[in-house]
Order: sequence, then C-alpha cells, then structure tokens
Amino acid sequence: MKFTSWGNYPKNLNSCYILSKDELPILNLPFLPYGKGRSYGDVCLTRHGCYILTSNKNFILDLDPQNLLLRVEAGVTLKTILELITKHNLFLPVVPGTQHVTVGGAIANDIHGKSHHLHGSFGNNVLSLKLTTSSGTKELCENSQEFRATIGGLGLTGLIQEAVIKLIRIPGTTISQINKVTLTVEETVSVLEELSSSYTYTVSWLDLLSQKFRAIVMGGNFTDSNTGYKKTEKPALSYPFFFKIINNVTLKILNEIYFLLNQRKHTEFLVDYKKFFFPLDIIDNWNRAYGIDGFIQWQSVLPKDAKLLKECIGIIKKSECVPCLCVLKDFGSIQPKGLLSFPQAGYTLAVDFPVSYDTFKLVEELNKFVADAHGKIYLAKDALLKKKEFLKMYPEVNDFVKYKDRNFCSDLWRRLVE
Amino acid sequence: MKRIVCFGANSDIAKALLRKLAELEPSEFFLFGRQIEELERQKNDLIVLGAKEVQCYRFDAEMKSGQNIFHNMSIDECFSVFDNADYVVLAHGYLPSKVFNDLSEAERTFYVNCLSFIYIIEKTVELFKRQGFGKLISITSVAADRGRKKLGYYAAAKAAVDSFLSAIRQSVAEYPDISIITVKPGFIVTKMTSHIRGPFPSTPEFVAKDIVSAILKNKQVVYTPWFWRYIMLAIKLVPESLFRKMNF
Repeated sequence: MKFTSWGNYPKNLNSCYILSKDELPILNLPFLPYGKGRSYGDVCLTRHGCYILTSNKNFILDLDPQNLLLRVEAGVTLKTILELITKHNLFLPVVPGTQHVTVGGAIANDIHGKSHHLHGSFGNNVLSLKLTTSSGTKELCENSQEFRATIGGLGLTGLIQEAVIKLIRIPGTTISQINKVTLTVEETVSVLEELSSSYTYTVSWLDLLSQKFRAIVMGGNFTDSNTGYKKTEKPALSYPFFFKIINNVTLKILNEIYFLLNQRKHTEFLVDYKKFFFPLDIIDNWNRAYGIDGFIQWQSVLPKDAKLLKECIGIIKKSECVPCLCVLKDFGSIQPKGLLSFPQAGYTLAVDFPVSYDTFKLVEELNKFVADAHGKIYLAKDALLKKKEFLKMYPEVNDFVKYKDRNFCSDLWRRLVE
Repeated sequence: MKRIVCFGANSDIAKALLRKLAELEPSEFFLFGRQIEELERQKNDLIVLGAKEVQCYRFDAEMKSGQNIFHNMSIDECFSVFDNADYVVLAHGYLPSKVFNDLSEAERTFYVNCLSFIYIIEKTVELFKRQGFGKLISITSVAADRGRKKLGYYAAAKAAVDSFLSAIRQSVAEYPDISIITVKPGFIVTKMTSHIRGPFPSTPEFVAKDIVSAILKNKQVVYTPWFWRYIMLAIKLVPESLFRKMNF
C-alpha cells in the first residue's frame, strides 16, 4: 500500500504496515498510527517505519443521547458518526473541513472547526481515552498529564484505541447561513467578530488573487426550519487522476465564480450541514488537482491584531506564489487541553500553495514572521517548519517528550526535534 | 425487520457488511465467531447503529463432520439458536501460510474454507426450503476462478465452494424467493491479508457496499470491485499451455 499525506508532499512510499491490535508487536521499527491520511505534511508519515492502520477499529461502542456521550473506537470516521447521531438530533461540537477523518486523527492533531469561540477544539470535548503504549494499555482520564500529552500528541504517545466524546444537541440538521462581503482586512476581522456573537459557526473566505482584497464572511446556525429548502443527496464526484489544473488563471476564474455566487446571497438562507461544513467533500481526491508534485497547506494563528494579519497577507500577495483557497477563522479564548495543541486566541489563516521553489521561499519567510509575532504554525499541515522556530512556538515540547513513546516516531518529529 | 445470521462475524468484510445491514433497517443479528470479546464490542456497535437485537456465539469453523474439533458449537447447535433467517452470511476464511507440501495446512484450509462452508450451506438451504425464502451470501474469492501457484490450497478450497454454490443454486431453482449469492472479492486489505501485498487493493467497506446492492438487486455472482470480473475472465481465457509458464 502507498502511504501519502493529503498534500502529496513530502513523498513517502514506505509500505510496511500492520492492522491495529490490542497489543503492539515487538518490532525493530518505529510505529506510527495512520487513519485516513488527511493531514497535509509529514505528520502522518514515517520513513523506515511501520504504520498501524486504524481502519479496522471502526466500532461505535455506545451512544447515550440523554447524557450526550459517545464512545467510539479510534478508526471511526466523523462521517460515520455524523450519519448516525444526526438521526438523534445530535452533533459533534467540533467538525473540521472534511468528514473523512478518523476520531484518532482528530484527537492526535487536536483539530478545530468553525465553532472554536464556543466549543474549543476537538480535544476540549474528549472526556477519556484508551491508549496502547509499549508498556501496555491504559485508560486516561481528563485531568492526567498523559491525557494532555495525547491530545494533539501527533500520534506519538501511543495508539489511541477508544475515546469518549461529548456531543451537542441541535434543533435540526439544516444550517441557516448568512454571507457578508467585506473589502478590507480590518472590516473582515470586525465582521467576523460581530458574527461570532450571534452565530455558532463562523468562517471567512479570502480572495488574495484579485487586485483588491475582498472576502466573504459566513456565519451559520443550526435550525429546525425547513421552509423553502429541498434536501438533495448528490453523489460524490471524483477527480480521477493527478493532473494539475491549479494555476494563476484558472484560480482567478474559480475565485470570481465563487465570489459572484456567494455575493448575491444577502439574507439568511438554508443549506444542508454537509454542504456548509464539508464543501470540498463533494469531490473525492480533489488534492489531485494540484498535480503529482502536491501542495502545501500553510496554516498559522496570529495574535488578535488586524495589523499583523494585514502584514502577513501583504507578504503572500507580494510573492509570485498562487494562494489558493484562503480561509480565515477566529479563535476564541478557550484554552486547548493538549500540550502541543495548535489553537490559541487569535486569527488563524490557512492558505494552499502548489509545491514550487517560490512556495518554499515564501513559507520560510512566513514562518519566520509568525514566530516573531508570537504566533504558531499548525503541525498537522506543516512540512517546512524549522527546529528553532518550532521550539519558540511550542515550548511545552520539553514536557511532552516525557510522554512520547520510544517506539513511535514520525517524519515530522525527526525533522523538528531529533 | 430482517433476521440476519453471520458466520465469521469478526472478519473485516463481515463487520463492514453487518454495519451496512444494520443501518438499512432494524434487524435481529446472530453472530458466530471465534473471538467472543470482539463480538461483544461488535454487538454494541450494531445496536447503536439501529439493530434490534444481537446475539453472539463462540464458533470455530475448523470442523470435522459438522462437529467442531475444538468441541465448541457444532453446526446443528448453531442452527438451533434461531428458527428462521432472512440472510445467512458466510464470511469466515483462512489464508494458509504454505501453498504446497504441508498436509496439515491443507487440511486446515479445507476444513475452514471448504467443508465448513458446505455443512453450513446445506443446513441453510434446508432451512430456506422449509421456510420458503432466504438469501445466502457466501464470500469466496476471485482466486477460485483459476488455481495459481501462489495460492495453492486456498484457491483449490475456494474453487470447491464456488462450484458447490453453483450446484446448490440450480437445485433451488424452483424456489423463486431463495437466492444464493456468491461474492468474489479481489484483494482486500483485511486482518487476513495484512501481511501480504496484492494488486489493486480495496477496502472492506467497498465490498460491503457491493454486497448490499447485490442483495437488494438479487444478483447471483458478484465480483467486487467490479473490474475483477474482466480480469478473471481474461485469466480464465489464457490457454493452459501458456498459463503453466506464467509467473503470477
């Protein structure tokens, strides 16, 4: 089997793997749990190692709709969970931009979503864990230090077997969405904050390719009204092979279409939750559109200061690179539980870049900027961070090392720590 | 409500298939498998997904004359725990570590992959004839289509089941509500195959989806993924004089 990350960069074709077990075998290779391969850089890759596939551990063990609790095995995807719990009018407090991720991966990367200002990150909603390490299997509860290391622990503290997750109750499965067009960075940021007070889910889409800055800020709330809304189940399309269509020209056209389509909608309208949260899931393997060379998703969080954000966007616009799919979100002040968790109060900007020499140069510059501004780079998407910057962004790593399993290692860990 | 019986419920394909069936409608499940602890976990999963009732039994398919050589449940005992069934799924299997020159491996392969299938198929058909309806889903393999040196005993045992199924299918032709479904998966990444490499790997979920659509559309022989039908057709058409020299 071929193991890649979603960005197809870096390449790693190591093919030794085992299926998830209750005990770890004795092997002279470093292990790394592998779920759906939806993280971007090298966090889910290990050279000369052995992957532990969690796909066979996909049981939902218990659902308690009264107490809003769900106990699942680590290999269950969020899609499976959502399809089940939406029938009971329940929802996960935190969902990322795709539903094809496993619970294990969501915990190990402490993923966040559009509702950070209310629900925190995924780890904030995990109550307990079952973890298999080289020394055996144990239950971890919320306040232990080992639990904190495992949340956002990049799969290096051991193999997550089971988790108990807190759920939220929703009135219905449709989302009432509102779109607002903004034309400056300051305006975008203030509209984003304004919407955060009345909407559970907020996100903004930026167009960094057009001459003038423009953005669409979106807010959404679950609603039980279904008036004027017909649910249509569309089959997923698939991008069949690696063929690069992303470039300066096609992207400008795509951005223009997207902007025009969303600009027209002034008042609140209804959409299905899948379309609101997982717009890219309608095309399977969309990462192939970046060609065989792959792409880098760069995501950082900057302190709440529109000036810093503007400067950062300035660096991107000045470069020769093609910034595709720029997303800006607002992180609230809820502290993450994990030692290596990414979220902190501030603005988080995510941008995709096709792999090229210019991209490497730009990302290096951006990383330096973020490190100096006391921001952080998201490790689940990182492929190019330097050791020095990493230590500055994640000082808790010295604490984390104590809980890292000696038999687990990833390429990211080799690059940043060893 | 459907009553679903599954042998080898621990196998990855069965797991995926049962989940799909549980989501389809609230049903009753009878699970037979070797690892009872795993089955208990599976029970929770199926109940959460909407199953009405799930019962688990320890069952080992390595048997002689319908009696388990490890002296747990015999086939008759298995069939006495339910009085009727809509679907019977046979999903257990054993991939031998040797392909030739090991009689004990050959015996084990034939007990698990062939003889136990034949016992269960006969009992099932007897039950189906009595009740007048039912679907038997039997998972064999694309390897059954033509013996290859890399899959000696395995291919032979699967081929025997394959041929027996087609015989049974003829024998129940006068019962319109009984169908015998042969499922032939290609290379699927499961517990059984986790130590080997195969061409065009696919997932148990994909196979499960194909099986469910086969059940609903009343198909007889399903290759999954679909393209294996044509690959195997091509392999079957190769003349023996050429085939014996081929190395795959």
